[in-house]
Amino acid sequence: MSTSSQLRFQKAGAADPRPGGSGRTPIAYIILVLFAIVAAFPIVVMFFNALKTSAELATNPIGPPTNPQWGNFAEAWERGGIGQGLLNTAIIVFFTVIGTWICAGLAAYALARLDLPFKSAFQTYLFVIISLPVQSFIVPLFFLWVKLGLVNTLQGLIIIYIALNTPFAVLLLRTFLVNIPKELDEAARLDGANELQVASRVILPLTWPGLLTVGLVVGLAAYGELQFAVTFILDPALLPISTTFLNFSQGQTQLFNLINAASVIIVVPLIILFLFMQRQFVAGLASSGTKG
Amino acid sequence: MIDTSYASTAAPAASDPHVAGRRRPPKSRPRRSRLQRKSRRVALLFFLPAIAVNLLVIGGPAVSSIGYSFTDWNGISPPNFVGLDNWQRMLTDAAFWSVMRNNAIYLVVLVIIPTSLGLFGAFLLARIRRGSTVFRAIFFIPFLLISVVVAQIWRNLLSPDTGIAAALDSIGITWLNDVYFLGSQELALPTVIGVHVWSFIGFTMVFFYAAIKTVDPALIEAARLDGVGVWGEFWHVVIPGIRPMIVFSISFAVIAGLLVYDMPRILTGGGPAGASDVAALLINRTSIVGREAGYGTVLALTLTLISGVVIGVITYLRRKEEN
Repeated sequence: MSTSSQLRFQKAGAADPRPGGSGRTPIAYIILVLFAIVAAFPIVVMFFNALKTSAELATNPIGPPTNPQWGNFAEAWERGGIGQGLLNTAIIVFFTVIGTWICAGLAAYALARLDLPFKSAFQTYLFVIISLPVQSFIVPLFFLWVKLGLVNTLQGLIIIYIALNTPFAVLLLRTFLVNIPKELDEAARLDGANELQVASRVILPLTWPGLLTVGLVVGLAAYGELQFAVTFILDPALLPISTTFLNFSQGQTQLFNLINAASVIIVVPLIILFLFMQRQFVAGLASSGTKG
Repeated sequence: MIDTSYASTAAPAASDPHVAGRRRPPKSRPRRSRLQRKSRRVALLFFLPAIAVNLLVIGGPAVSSIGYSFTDWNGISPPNFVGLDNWQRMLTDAAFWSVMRNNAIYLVVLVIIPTSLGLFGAFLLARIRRGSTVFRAIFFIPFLLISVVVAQIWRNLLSPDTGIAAALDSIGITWLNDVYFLGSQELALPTVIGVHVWSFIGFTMVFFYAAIKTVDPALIEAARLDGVGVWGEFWHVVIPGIRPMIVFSISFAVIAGLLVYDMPRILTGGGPAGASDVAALLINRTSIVGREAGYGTVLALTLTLISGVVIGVITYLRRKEEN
C-alpha cells in the first residue's frame, strides 16, 4: 500500500511540482531528523551502555563504549534469570496466540459466514467487552482464580490473555471473512465437506493475512504485558520475562550495564521482527487499540 | 460495521433458494429448513469457545463486581451486605480524589501532545520525497519496546548519577545535578507522563501518516492550485480528510490515560507520597494487597463509569457531526 501511494505521490509531484516544494522540504527534513533523534537517542544509549563496564559507565554515562564488553550479555542472561523468563514467556505467547486463533477464528467465522442466531447481540457484547477497562473485572477475577487454583500457573495467565485478546481478534478476522466470496464455501459444501472442513480447508487459509496480524499483535501484547503478569504470578520459577526483568532491574540497581544488556536481549527480537513485518504491525496495532 | 453484517446475513438468504431451486426442485424445502436449524446450532457451537472464555474471565467478574460493591468483601470470606457504605467512603477518600486529579492530568497531556505532534510529524512525513520509510521505522520503535524496558531506559537517563545529568556534569553543565526527576514531588508525575508520551507519540505519527496517504491526492492538488499554502492545505484538506482517524486516536489516548498502570507502577510506584499515583495502582493496592476487595470494586466501577461516559460523549459528538 505504501509503495503504490508513494509512487502516485511522486508522479503527481513530477507533473506539477508543489509550490515552493524544494524550498520547504529541507525544513521538513530538519524537523523530522530532530524527531528521529529524540526517538532513537535513548535506545542508542541503551545499546551503548549494554557494552560498558560498571567503571566506564560512571565516567562515560551516555557515549559509545571504548572497549565493548560482549561478555555482558552472557552475564546478564545468567544473573537476571533471563533464560527462564524467556522460556516462560515463549510458552505463554505460543499458547495465547494459538488459543486466540482458535477462539476468535471460529467465532469470526460464525459471525461472518454462518447463520448465527442473536448475531447483533453477540456483536454488541464484543464491542462492550473491548471498551471495558481491566479494572472493572480484575478484582473479582483475581479471587476467582485463587479459588480455582489458577493463580501462580502459566495456564491461568494464558486463559486471561486469550479472553482479553479474543474480542478485537474476532472483529478483525470478521472483516477478512466477510470479503471471501460465498461461492467458494458453497462449492465445497456441495462436494460434501462439513462445516469444520469448510472452515479449516477453504476459508481459514484465505484469511491468513488477518491471522498473521492477529498473531503479531497478540504475541506482542503477551510478550510485554505487565499488569496481569505481576498480579497473577508470584512464583519465581514461573515469572514471564517482563516481571523477571522488573525484579532484576529493581533489585540490582548498581549493575546498570547488565540491566541494559538484559534490555537489549529482550527487545532485539521485537525490533528484528518489526523490521521484517512493519506493515502488519502498524495495521494490526491500529486495529486493536489494546496496547497503551 | 453493523451495516455490512446485515448485508452478509441477507446474502445467503437471497442466494440460497436460487441455488437450491436450480439444482433439486420441489422436495428440498423441508430438508433445507432442517439444514438451516442445524447450521444455526453449528454456528452457536463455533461461537461457544470465545464467549465461554470471555464470560469466565471478563463478563462474569465484571457483573459480579457490581454486587460486591455493596459488601465488605475481602476476597476470601463470604461478603456481608453494607449498603452504600463503600460509595460514601469513596467520596470522602482523599486518595481517591488525588488519583482522579492525576489521571485527569495524565489523560489531557496524553491526548494533546501525541495528537498534535503526531499530526505535525505525519504531515511532514507525507511531504518529503525520500526516506519516509526509514523515519517511520525509527519513530515506531519506541512504541514497540515493552514498558518495563522503556521505563528502565529512562530511569537510567534521568538518574543524576548515571544519565544525562552526569554527562552534562562532565562537560561543566551542573544545573541538572540535583534534579531528581522521579523522586521529586513536583516532577514525578510530569516525568512519568513524559516517558509515556515518548513511547506513544511515534505510533500516532505513523498511524496518521498512513491515514494522510489515503486522502485523495486530487483534493490536495486542487488546494495547491488554489494557492492555499502549506497551512491551508493542512487545516482545510488533510485534517478534515482524516478526521475519523483523529477521533479514533484521541479515544485511544483517553482510555490509555484513564487506565494507565505500567509507567507509574514501574517508574515511581505512585510516589513520592502519592504524587504520581493513579487509579489503577490505587485499585490494585486497595483490593489485592489491602484485601479491601469490596471497596476496591467501588473504585473500579467508578473508573469504568467514567471511561464509559467519556467514550459515550466522543461517540455522540462524532455521530452528531456526521449528521
